[in-house]
Amino acid sequence: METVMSYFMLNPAFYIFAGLAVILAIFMITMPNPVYSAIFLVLTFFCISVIYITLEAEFIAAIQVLVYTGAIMVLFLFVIMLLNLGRDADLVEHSGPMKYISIIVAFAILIQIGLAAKVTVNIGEKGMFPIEKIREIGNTEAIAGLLFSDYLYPFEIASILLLLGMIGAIIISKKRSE
Amino acid sequence: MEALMPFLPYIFILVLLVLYLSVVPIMIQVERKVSAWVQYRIGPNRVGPRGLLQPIADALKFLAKEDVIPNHVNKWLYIFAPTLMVFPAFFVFGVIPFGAIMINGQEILIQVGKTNIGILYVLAVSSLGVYAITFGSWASNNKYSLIGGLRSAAQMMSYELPMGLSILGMIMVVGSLRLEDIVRFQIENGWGILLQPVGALLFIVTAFAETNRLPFDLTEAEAELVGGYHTEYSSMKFAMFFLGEYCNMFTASAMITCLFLGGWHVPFIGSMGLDPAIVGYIQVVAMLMKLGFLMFFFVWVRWSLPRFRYDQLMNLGWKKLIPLALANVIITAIVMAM
Amino acid sequence: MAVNVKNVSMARGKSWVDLTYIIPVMKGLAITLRHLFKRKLVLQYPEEKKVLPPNYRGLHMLTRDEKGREKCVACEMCSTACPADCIRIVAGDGGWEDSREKHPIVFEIDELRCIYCGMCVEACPEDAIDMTDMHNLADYTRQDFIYDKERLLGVYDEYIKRHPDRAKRRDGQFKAMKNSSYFTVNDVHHSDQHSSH
Ligand code: SF4
Ligand code: SF4
Repeated sequence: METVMSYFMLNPAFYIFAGLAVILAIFMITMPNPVYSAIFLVLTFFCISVIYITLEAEFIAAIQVLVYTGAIMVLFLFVIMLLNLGRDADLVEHSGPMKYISIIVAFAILIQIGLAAKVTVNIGEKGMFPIEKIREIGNTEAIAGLLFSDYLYPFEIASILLLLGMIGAIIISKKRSE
Repeated sequence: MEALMPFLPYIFILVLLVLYLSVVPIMIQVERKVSAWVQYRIGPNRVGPRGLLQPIADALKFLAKEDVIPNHVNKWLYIFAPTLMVFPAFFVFGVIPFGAIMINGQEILIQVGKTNIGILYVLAVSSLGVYAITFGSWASNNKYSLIGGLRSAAQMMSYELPMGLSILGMIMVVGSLRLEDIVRFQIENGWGILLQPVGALLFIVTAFAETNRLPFDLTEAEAELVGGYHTEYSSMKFAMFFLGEYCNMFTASAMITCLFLGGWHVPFIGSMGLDPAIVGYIQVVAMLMKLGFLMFFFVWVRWSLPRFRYDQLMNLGWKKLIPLALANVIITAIVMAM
Repeated sequence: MAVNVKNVSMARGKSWVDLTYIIPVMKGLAITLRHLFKRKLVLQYPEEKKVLPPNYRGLHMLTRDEKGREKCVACEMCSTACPADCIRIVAGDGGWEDSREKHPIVFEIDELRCIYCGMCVEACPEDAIDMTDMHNLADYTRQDFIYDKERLLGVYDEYIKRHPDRAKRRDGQFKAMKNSSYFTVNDVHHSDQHSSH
């Protein structure tokens, strides 16, 4: 019990918002109405961005809000509303045994993440960018420096993948003239 | 003065809050008067001297009206949405620098919240404004409202891109995301509208779209959507939406001023040989005057231009503004590399 | 004749400068800016009122003769001419002593049905019905807008109190018209021939 409390005292904001994020995520998957689910997902994203701020990663926090809540969730809502899944078309469970299998798989993944976290947290050491250095040169600059030097190829590949996705979407949605 | 120093941030918060809340009634009066004058009318002139107390009458009317919640709405979201409208504008407003005044030979920035990521914060928070409209329109359970909300979502999405890209040019020139750094850079090197004319134009156009003002007010479109997202709203909840619109306008004006109109800078004031303490105050007033002009500009444009058609809006956003913004970024990069 | 169809195309006859919207938008803004400082064209209504032309078609009135009786002889020309069918007349014996065979016992105009076309005024052979410049009518029920004979006569009294000159002139005009051969049998015959062509 003492250890739990001491962890909590270490960074109370993190534990509060992390717990909130989990609760909101559970709400999100249990809501019968897709619009409510979307709202809880938005709130979950918020909690996650607050967690980023507690880690002093303001850039990621801002991008989290900007991209996920500001753009992607708006698109989600757009689609949900466009399909008019109102009160009449509440989501109904049809899956049967798949439900139980998925619960087992989910727990397996959870344990795996837990193990991975345990290992890296204990073994991992401070990298090139300790918090003092980031404070000194600035969050955005640090990320930009890495992104455009060491991680240039992954970055470019990610952008090309996105471009492919975009072109694919256009081709699918475009009506054949014949 | 000395004793006040630790309380300065709170004083700033108080002053900005009062400023922010007093802007709305003033703007309602300006909007009504300007719309009247443009149409050769006189405008409200009955309440108080020259009709100056009209906003108070409006507010009282909103308060005294019956608060109707229609039976078919989704109650929680219906009540929640209007309150959501004001917050993004409000949060953004906190990081706007209003000037630098000298107290005891020490320069103090009039700014409530200081963030490292400045503009990113602004973009992130202001992108949440669409939720109020979307939730309000969906909760109203009315097809006109829903269409208004869908339009709003699509419009905000499409115009956020050129908005971000138009700022990007300016950020590249300045080399910092902090709003106060951007203003300081402009004080030394000339206003942003001269350094980045295309970026400034794009930003102003997209600001109109993001605040849902004419010529881009397709979410309301009285003629076709009967008011759009606020069709089902009445009394104080409608007033909140109304308030939100003006707050958004004020925040957008502040952003335009900081990014492209030199913030609190007054040209040639450094060479006049004035006491730096006085210069600080003059510059705060200059900032407010720039804001006032931009607010007037918003109103002026509203009563001059017709509304875009929906396909024209999308064409303008995706086929003209985004390529233009991209070209602007690339050309800026090339010029800077040379 | 064929309707003139005007093809409006954004691109035709416009230079690229216009297509950027910038110059046209600035022109539009300049126009509205000029409007800001021009004279305003509004009357402050309850204090300032528009001077209406003498032939303005407002609320009806029933005019009175020299003895203060209604001039109307209940001929029902007006109600026949009325396209909105909003005049109701019940005739009664007028007494013979000054050549009036009939007079209206009931004379009602439904001012909400009325379209203010003025046909009734044109139709009346006695100049007994006329229109005033009163247009700001307000009342609480629809029933209140059915003006009966007394009210219509009252409107006349009120009207000549405000425009004594106008009432007199109208009277003289009408007498002159009645004594002249304004409508002759020839005229009617002539116009009949015209229409048969
Ligand atoms: S003005 Fe026209 S509609 Fe009205 S009562 Fe006379 S004839 Fe009828
Ligand atoms: S008002 Fe004139 S037209 Fe009508 S019934 Fe009387 S006399 Fe005849």
